[in-house]
Amino acid sequence: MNGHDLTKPPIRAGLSRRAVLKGTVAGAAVLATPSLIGRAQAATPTVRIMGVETAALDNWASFEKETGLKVEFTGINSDPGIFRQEVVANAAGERIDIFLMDGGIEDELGAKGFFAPIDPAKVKGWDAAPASVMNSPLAQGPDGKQFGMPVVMNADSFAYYPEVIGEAEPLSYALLFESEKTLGKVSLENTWLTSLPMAATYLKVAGKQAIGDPSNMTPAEAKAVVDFLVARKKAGQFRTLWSTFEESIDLMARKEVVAINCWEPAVKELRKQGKDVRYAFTKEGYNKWMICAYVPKEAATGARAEIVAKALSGFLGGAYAAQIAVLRGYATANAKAGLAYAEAQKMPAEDIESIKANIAKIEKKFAAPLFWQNAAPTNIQAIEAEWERFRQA
Amino acid sequence: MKAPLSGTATPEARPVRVRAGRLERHLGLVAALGGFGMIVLTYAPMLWLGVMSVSADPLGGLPGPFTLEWYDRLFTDRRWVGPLVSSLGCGVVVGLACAASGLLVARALPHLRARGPLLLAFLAPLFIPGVLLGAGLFLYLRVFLGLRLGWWSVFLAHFAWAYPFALLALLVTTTRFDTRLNDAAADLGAGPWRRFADIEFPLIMPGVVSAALFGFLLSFNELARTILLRGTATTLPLFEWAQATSHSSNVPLIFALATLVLLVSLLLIGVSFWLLFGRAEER
Repeated sequence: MNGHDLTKPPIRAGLSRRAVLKGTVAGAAVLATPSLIGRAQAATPTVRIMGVETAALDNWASFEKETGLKVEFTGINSDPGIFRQEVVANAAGERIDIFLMDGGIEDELGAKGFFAPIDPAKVKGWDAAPASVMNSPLAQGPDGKQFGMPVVMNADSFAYYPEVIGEAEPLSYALLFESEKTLGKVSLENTWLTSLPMAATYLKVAGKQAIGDPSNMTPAEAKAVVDFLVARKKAGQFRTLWSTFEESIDLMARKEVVAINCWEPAVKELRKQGKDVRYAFTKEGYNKWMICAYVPKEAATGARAEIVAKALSGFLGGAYAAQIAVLRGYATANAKAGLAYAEAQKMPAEDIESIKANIAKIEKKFAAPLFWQNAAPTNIQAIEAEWERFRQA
Repeated sequence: MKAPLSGTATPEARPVRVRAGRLERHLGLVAALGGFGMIVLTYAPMLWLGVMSVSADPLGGLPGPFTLEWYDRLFTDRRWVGPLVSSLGCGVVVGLACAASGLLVARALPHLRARGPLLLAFLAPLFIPGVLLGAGLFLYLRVFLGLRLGWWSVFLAHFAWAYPFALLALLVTTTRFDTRLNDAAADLGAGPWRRFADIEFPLIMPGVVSAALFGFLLSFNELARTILLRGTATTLPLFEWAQATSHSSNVPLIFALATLVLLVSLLLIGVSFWLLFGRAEER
């Protein structure tokens, strides 16, 4: 109990519980201090961005310097369902100045009045960007209203092992869907958003199926495409579906698959590992996607509108373009500004080369007629249900 | 007055060992193998994670050549630090709340007449899928009450998720607590607070700490409910989940960060067990 034993000197070897507990409490207090200090500086205006991580920089410092704003970024998944939930149900516009979301969502959320139209006159660098990009159907609502401003874009196809395929580019999507060479060694992305339009594009160009717009199919068109995919699945064409970036790299690295409709940075990673993998130039067209900036209606007026205009100009500016090109191999709507910035900042030669290569690639691919990725097709429920049928088959 | 659940305090005589029969020995071997298999099943993947975190090519499937590149990347791109600190803070608050409120209920529950039905009511949330609980809370708080979601709603969801586990951990010790000790202390003139602080709490402390640990760990790893109730809050699982759809590699996050978190967790749990059970009571 609490009696003191006076026969022994009160020296304890090793640690006592009490000492450990005291140390723990003190340590926790020290750890908690920085978060308290960080609250005390809010002189520069802050732009609060919520968006997909693909468009996020890992360091916003140069963007902040260029715009004179402080960036507060909240990451979300690239998923139309999540966009809807955040914007509609969660009323994120109350606390967010700019959304960065996959283009196409404005057809729904813009038309319903959740986004405010963007005035190009207020954004520096808008006129320097190609009009064909800025007026893309992925940035404008169904009535042609400019709800989105293109931020990051690319044109996706598929990755493949040239030694297995043994053909010269441009290649056909047949390698993904209908080829003896790749039988049982194909992986498709586990989403209707990319895999269904790619299959539709293949069928349309091959003349096997009449399809109007691969990225905005009617229920009957979607059914026909999924019938084809189910038949190919039963024939053993597909090995598996992939869901994450790492998974797509892993499947290719171990040669479990030899063709895969993955994202282009995966090829970058694979080549870094010394694998001879290429990203196809195709006959039929590309999954042309963009991530656009959208302005919630709450942020379109007053002081917030000024912050928004500065931030939008930043996304068309040089600092952002140069960084995102090196980081992901993606171009912005004003990619040339990125090149100018990189040269002015004396960035490494290899980075400048990759920025140049990006610009050339985008120009070549965006000229292809088919097709624009569309996160909000008219018959979304039917398309989702058909995709589910393919997954369960 | 309920019959006590613990035995008397006389020292036990050593029981006579009965030699085990053959069947029993075989069963013992099976049990030992099963136990060992379970440990391998649990720890091998974690070890593998650690090995892959220092491999140059973790997605190639085989370890080596060895490098610290991923840890380097983790410390140059430090966007995960904010979410990690938030998750730790949220976990601590949930853990403390679970331990404190669970203690109130767990002390009273064994002595109530309706303890069976009440316990069932407390444990029922265990059988509700996370997404459903999240969706229900979301519809109620955001759509029906029109509240602005944030850390408070994340806390609420985590608390509702962890509470039954914490309560179970606490009940293990509170049902074994011999209330006659309190009566004896009262007889000797101790007030209610003294009785709790000097007698009851030290004896049920392992349960309290376990409850707090449960609360912390369940909150720290929670995703399904958080997705719906986050507002603009970002926890570490949410950050990793959003990263999973970004067009860039998260190997540093997956392998290196997970290994670090694992090491720290093991250390924490080791220390807490040592505090609880490891050392003889000091004078």
